[in-house]
Amino acid sequence: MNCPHCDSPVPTGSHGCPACGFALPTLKPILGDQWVRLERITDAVQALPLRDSRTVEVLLDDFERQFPQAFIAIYLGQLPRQLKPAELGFWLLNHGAFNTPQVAKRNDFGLIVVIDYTSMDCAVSLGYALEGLISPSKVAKSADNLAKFLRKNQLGPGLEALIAQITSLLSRAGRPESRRPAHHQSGFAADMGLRSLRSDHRKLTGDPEASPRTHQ
Amino acid sequence: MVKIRPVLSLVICVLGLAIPSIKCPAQTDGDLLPLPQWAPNEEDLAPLLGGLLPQDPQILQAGPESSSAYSNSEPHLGSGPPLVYPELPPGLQIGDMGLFLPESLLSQSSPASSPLRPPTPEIALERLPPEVFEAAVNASADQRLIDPLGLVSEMPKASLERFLEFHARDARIKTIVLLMDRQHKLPDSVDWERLSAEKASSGDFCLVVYPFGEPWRARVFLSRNVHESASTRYLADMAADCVSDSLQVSEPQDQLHRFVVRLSTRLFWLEKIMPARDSSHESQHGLKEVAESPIEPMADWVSFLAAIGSGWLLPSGIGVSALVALSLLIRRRRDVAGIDRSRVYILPEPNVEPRLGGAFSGGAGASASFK
Repeated sequence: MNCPHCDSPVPTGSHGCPACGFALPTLKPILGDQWVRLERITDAVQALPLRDSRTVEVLLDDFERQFPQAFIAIYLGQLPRQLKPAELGFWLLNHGAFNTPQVAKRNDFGLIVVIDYTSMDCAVSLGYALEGLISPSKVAKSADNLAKFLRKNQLGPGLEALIAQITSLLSRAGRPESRRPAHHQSGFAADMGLRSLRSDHRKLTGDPEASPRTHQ
Repeated sequence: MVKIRPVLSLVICVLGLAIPSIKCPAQTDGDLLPLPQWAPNEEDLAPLLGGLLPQDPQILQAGPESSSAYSNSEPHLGSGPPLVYPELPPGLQIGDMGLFLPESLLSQSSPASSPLRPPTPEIALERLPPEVFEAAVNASADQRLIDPLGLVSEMPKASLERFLEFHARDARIKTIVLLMDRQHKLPDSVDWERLSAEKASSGDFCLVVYPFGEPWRARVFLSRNVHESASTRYLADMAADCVSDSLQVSEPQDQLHRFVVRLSTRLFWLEKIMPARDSSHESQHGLKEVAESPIEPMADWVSFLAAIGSGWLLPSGIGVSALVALSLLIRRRRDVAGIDRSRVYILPEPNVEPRLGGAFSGGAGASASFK
């Protein structure tokens, strides 16, 4: 995998980029270290027409229905010059609480699309779970395809095509099953109809209780 | 209603008692029915029976015992109506007597159709007598129907000749019909060049050698110009169409009539696809026969399918294939669009060691510029 800042290869388990020293705490002066709550589509520059926004919402619903563990989030905005879209995607996956219909989804099954209208760059960032399912070349191809649509000022169709590509790629990697009722948590709170928020999340590395979990 | 019922019951009872007491008048006059009576020896008995008895008075007088000779005899048809001429002149048949009937009667179909005859077996076929072919060669140029054996009666023959004349007047491809008997077949060594040389003055023409009563053995010959202007399959279809249309009827004369009419129609169609006649180009002499079933790989395949399915398998197969292709296409589109709501995909959870300090993402992904 490559560094979101300098695009140099980053070995597994490295706490910082060997080339530029980039790590998650590097972004703290710009973005802070607090959790932020976001919708699946955050259009800070009002670039997505309403009709396209509804279409993309429907596609995102279908995606999450088809892949109960995964989600896709989209951020459209004008970023500061010192912040790259790939860096924001990396930070959002580690500090964002996305308002998905099933809020218990883990961020390591998340895919963030960041489109920066300042630098005219776009980035597709993956969580740990998805990066093993979608090869870097496929991700690069999807990003290039999105950029082609953006060059034609076709944001909505570009996002639709991207979601379709990701769906196709993940459906090959996933194990198909017939639809079944949602898994209910056991326990007193679950019996009362209460569900915990981010119960499966791993702790942040800076957290004193941090202990990397192994996902089975 | 309650008061009326006893009254009705009483009336019915009275009528029931009164009916047996009514007597028939005949019974009162010595039990004789009021029917006419005849004496046993009355002479006018026979006419009253409506002519169902034999007219021979001797048989009538002899009584029912003498009729055993008739009842024991084999059934047979009586002789027909008396003819004006006891013996018909040679070449004249009973049907020709219709020449003297009014027009309205001529238009009626003949009530007595000839019985269906089985096809002549191949082994029983005889070679066409040379004089028949000579008659075809020596026939005048304007003779369209050549019937040296006199197989067609006069009225249908005249009708056919008029029709062929009409066709020759308007069509580019003239038609000549040579009739032979049903047991005849064309010999292998027929000098078609001689025949075509005689008829070449009339331009393109079509010769039909027609076995009377067996149209499926008819052979169609075309001038080389005409034959080469259309595909072999088209010409074979044309001949087969004429045969199948003629077999819609069972009477040999009607078969011939339908065959010729259909052939005329198809020859007009053939003219439409023929190139325009070039006056500078000499027409090629010679005749070429229309093959019955040209061998074409694709046609054989289609006919094989049509044969095994009696004509319905091919269309239904195409329909089923189209449905399958359509369903696959829809399924593919649904898969691509990710709207297959009937199934979910469970993704594996790989064990990835965190990097760059990220708990959920290590910065994997890709960027692109859309400047």
